Amino acid sequence: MRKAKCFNDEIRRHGPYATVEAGLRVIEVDRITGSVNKCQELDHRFRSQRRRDRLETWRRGRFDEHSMHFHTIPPIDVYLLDGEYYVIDGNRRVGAAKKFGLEFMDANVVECVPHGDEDARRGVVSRRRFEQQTGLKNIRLDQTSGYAELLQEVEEFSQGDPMGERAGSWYTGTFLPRVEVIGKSELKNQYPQRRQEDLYLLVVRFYRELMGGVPSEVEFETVLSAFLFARRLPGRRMFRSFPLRQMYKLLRGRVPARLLNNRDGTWKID
Amino acid sequence: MPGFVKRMLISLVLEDAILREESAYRFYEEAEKRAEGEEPRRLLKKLCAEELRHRLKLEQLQRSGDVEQLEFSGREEIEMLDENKQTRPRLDAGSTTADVLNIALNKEKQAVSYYRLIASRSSLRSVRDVFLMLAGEETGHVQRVEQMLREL
Repeated sequence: MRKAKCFNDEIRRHGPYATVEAGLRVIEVDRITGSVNKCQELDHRFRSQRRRDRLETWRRGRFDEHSMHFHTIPPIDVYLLDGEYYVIDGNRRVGAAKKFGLEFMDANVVECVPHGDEDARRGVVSRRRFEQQTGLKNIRLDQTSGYAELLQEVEEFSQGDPMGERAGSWYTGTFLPRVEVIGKSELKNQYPQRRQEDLYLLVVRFYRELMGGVPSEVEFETVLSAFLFARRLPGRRMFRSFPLRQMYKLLRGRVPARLLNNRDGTWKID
Repeated sequence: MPGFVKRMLISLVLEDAILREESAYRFYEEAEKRAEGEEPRRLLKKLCAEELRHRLKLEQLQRSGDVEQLEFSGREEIEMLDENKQTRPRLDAGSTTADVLNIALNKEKQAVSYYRLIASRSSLRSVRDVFLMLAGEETGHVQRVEQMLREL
């Protein structure tokens, strides 16, 4: 039986570290992989491996499917290390969330930044700046250096409006719809392991470097299609499919003018 | 080929135009890597970006789903439509910056004629506007490449 990861074992591998309060946020249940104090007792789905006494049965029984889906569950406390969460308080809530298939839950997050990991430190600084300036706390990037680019995008979006308003409009009107398009695209099929948000960043970087920004006068599907072409990634183009190419060849066939009815321009061929 | 007529659906004409822009993009992408000197490289990168922008505009037009059949006649027009008869921009190992720019110049001139032809054959305003705009921008490319050739 696979066990939950132990925070102490993981942090020992990284050496000395600093902690940064990231505050209350919504986290993905799938990324909760370990525990700080109870890792020896829990399996990877946070089910207790100990023989249950009556108290434990009652405590776990408080979280039934109905309460998990329809009631507010108090936020758990977690450490964030290397993109994974380790539970400080709330192992039973996580067990119930995993059992009943919850995708997200509230958590008070403390981020652990190993002293030797300069990229991680820069990433945390960049993310905190983004969150403080925009008030947007639920954008997750594995490439944390990308927060600076997202901040630049928000700053350039609808200039003149107050920052909070601008960030909200950008998030709901630009970022989320585009990330959704990426989720259904060939780009996601090519990189199934990468987050859609990180893939969005790839597209933004490409257009920023080449044209100074993502073209806004065309739909994002079109933008993505051109990106796939430019990056030599396979894309779906209906007019290049085999049957259509055959039809195309047929239509491109030269038709002698004498076979046309000159009066109304219709085909004379039987 | 006198007396021959070719009819094409606008969506297929657009796909052809997209293919041409893709070919141009790849050409400039390759040329930028090989070009010597900051100025030619900057110009080639700008042209590369503009060809991709043209591709975006053409695909957007294609997505609008307008239906129309265009008719072309006469040797010159039909040859202009035939991709294989057009100069396919190719670079070899020994190409100098001047060679690259000369190929680019030829390619851009062909693009101007091709876009003007499509614009003149379409009755759809959206199609005419886009192709005339593209022809105008390709004319700008011709001028910039000519100027760069003079400066070399």
